[in-house]
Amino acid sequence: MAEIEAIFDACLLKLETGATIEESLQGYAAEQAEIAPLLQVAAALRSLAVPVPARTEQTRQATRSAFLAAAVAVRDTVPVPGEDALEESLTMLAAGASTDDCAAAFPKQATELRSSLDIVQALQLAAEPAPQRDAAQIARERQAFLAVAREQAREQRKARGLAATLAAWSALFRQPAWRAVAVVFLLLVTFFGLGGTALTLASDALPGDPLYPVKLVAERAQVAITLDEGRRAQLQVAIDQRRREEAAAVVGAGRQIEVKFPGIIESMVDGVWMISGMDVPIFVPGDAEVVGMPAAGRQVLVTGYSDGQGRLIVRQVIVFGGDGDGASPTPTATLTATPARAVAPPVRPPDTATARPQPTDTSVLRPTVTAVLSSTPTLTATETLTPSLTATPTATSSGTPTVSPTPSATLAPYPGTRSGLIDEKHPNWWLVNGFRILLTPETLIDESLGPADVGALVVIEGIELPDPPAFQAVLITVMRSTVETRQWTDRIQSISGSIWVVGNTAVDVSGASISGTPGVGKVASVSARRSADEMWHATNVSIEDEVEPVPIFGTITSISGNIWGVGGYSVNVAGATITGLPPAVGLYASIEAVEENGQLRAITVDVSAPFATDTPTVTPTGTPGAPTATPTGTVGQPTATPTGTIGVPTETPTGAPTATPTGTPGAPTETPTGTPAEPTPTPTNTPAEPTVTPTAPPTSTPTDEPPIPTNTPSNPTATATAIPTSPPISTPTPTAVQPPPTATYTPVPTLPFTPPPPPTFEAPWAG
Amino acid sequence: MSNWTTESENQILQLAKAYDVTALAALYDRYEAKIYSYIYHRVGNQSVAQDLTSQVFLRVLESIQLERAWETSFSGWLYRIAHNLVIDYYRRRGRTTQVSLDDMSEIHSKTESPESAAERAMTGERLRTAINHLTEEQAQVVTLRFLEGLSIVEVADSMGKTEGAIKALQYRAVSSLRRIMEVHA
Repeated sequence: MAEIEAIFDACLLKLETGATIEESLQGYAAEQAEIAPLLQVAAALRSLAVPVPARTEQTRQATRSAFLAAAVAVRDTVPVPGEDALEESLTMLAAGASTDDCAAAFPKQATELRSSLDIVQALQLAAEPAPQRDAAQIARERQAFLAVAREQAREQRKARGLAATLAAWSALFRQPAWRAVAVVFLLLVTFFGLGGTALTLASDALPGDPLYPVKLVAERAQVAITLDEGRRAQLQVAIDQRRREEAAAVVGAGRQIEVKFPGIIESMVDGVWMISGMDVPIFVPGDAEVVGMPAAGRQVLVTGYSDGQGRLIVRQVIVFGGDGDGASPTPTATLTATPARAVAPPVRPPDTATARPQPTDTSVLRPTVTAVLSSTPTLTATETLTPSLTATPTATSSGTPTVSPTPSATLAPYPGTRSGLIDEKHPNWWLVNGFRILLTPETLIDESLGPADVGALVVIEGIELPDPPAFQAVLITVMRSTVETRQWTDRIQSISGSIWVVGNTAVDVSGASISGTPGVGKVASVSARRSADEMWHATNVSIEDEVEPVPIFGTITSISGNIWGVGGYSVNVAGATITGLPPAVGLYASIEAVEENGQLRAITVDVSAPFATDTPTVTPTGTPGAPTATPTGTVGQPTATPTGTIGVPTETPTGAPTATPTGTPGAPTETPTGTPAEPTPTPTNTPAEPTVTPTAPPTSTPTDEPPIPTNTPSNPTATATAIPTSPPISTPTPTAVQPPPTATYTPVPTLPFTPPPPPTFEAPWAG
Repeated sequence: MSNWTTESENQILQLAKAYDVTALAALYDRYEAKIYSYIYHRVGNQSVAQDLTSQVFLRVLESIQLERAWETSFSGWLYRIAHNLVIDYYRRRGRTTQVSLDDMSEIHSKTESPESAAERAMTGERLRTAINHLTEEQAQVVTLRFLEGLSIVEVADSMGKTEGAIKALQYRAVSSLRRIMEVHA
């Protein structure tokens, strides 16, 4: 059948060259009957193949126009979706078209379109850019936001710390209620992360409840966003009242927990105070720390604890008011050595209430703070406490409290707390978070955690003065100083404007000196400082140039300290991560290295046993055109005896090999007599290895003809290794040649190692 | 540099979820003005816009740790919070369409007659009221597209939706607005 087709094909060829059917059939008498009809059909078909008559350009254009007209007609029958018509009309309007133009362009939607465009135009007319805001206001808003963010971060950290110490709590408080609280707390931390859901749950929390910190944060946030002074004052009054109610509640519940609340002293009798209508007595023991001059009617900030037995024991009282209130240009007294809270001795109540008259609010225990200007701008406060009981003691019956009228909470000054960054410092006032803080000579500044410089984060306890609105500082505690420095090196994870994420730290690089070319994934060394706003600001960023690691594989030929010979290379393994077998000459090493100052430095090293079928050692460098290394051993001569260091060259011929057999060779005929016992001259290059044909003529060529393999070695081991002596400078171009395979040449790819092309050379003995 | 990408923003968001202040500041700086402008165009009052903008970012702090605070688009989430606050604001204020003198002083320009300014202010107020009757997404699209002047692509990017979806929302929003305005007229 194939023959008749071939004959038909030959006849057709003749026919096409102008021969007749008969002439075409000459020589095919036997097939003539079968082929002749076919040729006749072919000839008939050929006669139809007349040239296409040329059309005029006019005709072609007319046909084209007709086609396009048909297309338009079809298009007009397909309704344009309303959203497309609207969007296209908007584009037309923006380009200067009128509503009528748009309606005309979309006649089917004209009515609807006109109406919609009217709406849009009305919207656009009503729209005008949002008015410019005052830059200071924007900055204040930003600071307020970040202040709350910092607060949240602190609470988060605190919550984590609480979780860590929960076990200790449990040990301390054995009551079943505490265990229940602990469980709830853990669940909330685990599942809600103390987030927004927790805020709702936190509203009824009491001191010691897991969500109590969240409640405090929410309150601070509420205060922070209330810009109106009057409303903020009302809010603070409500919050203060809440603190007192909470303190009373935990005392009533018999909890053991620290509480802190502001209030006004109503009475002080026998070490038992009544404050702001609280229905629990407040015990002020002799060792309680009292800062200021306590007296009925005075504002106080009380820190104490509920002892679990229905009593509230005071640890510290800060008294606001008294002499010296009001702004003064006197330099600020700064406590540099003594913690601020220890400045005043406690007021010791009389031992027995019955024997001595109890001083009332007219008694004055007056600490005076003398500011002494030192050589530095920092003032050192030297305190001379001069208690002088100037009032006439009122002999009252013992135990009878002296009640003073309680000032109106909404009108009188009341204690409050502010926190934030110091924006500005002036002699008698500071700007903290955009708010003016008044300082008096009595204002104490605790700088034990760092200097109260501009930028420092401070917590201020003081008095809210309602009219005119102001905040008078009593105690300023530096929570974080201005500068914290850090240096780290890591990969750039992302770049978002001036904010980079390096490792797992976000850093603002806007003011930094940057060297190198930034890029995600690159390694950067960052020097940064964190100011009290808790943001990392980079001062210097050095981006390392990417050094592509170079893969080096081969047998370890030498180990001299940290310098190994592998695959013909000298590699410094100091500092490298070495895995696998204990390094030894003769083992196989897979190395990732970088070139530094002309030397290869290993990053990772994996040491393994030599392969059973030793792949020719691949070294990533070499100058294929003129390799100076040649295979070891007389590969063509199967009598070459590997000496046991498999794959390790034992001699270095100076001639260049001319071919790289890449196929799986047939069986060699001769068996090497040395070790290993397996036949040695077996090129085992896998097809994936590149075939490199050096173009330089070999300087010493083994003269033996390649053996004719007669059997297949099961474990060919001998491998010739090319050892280039100079760094690679070019990528070898694999060339397939049919050279006399006198030697097994190890292909030498360039740095970096790239996947080799498929082999193009087959060993002549390959099957 | 405006090389914010989805990937880089995700990195920032991961840190912000742990209340990293630098990351939060970066997000604030990137979006605060946009949210302010959006809210201003919805309420037409500068001080209200400022207050509501502050609240938007406080809501962010409250909820940023929640797993599904934002599903696909952080900016879309911000606009959603802003929209809800605007709706709350109007709900509290009542459905009045009066233009206060404060609003007028903000709207009035030196080159515009008081009558014209008043008319425009009333139109703007009516439109804002009508926008509040739209669905959340429609209101966002109308505001971003026509009051903010963003392109379809930009709106799609802001809301984390496809351009086709924005076109469809835009069409339905304007159609709804047309009907609402007709009813109120």
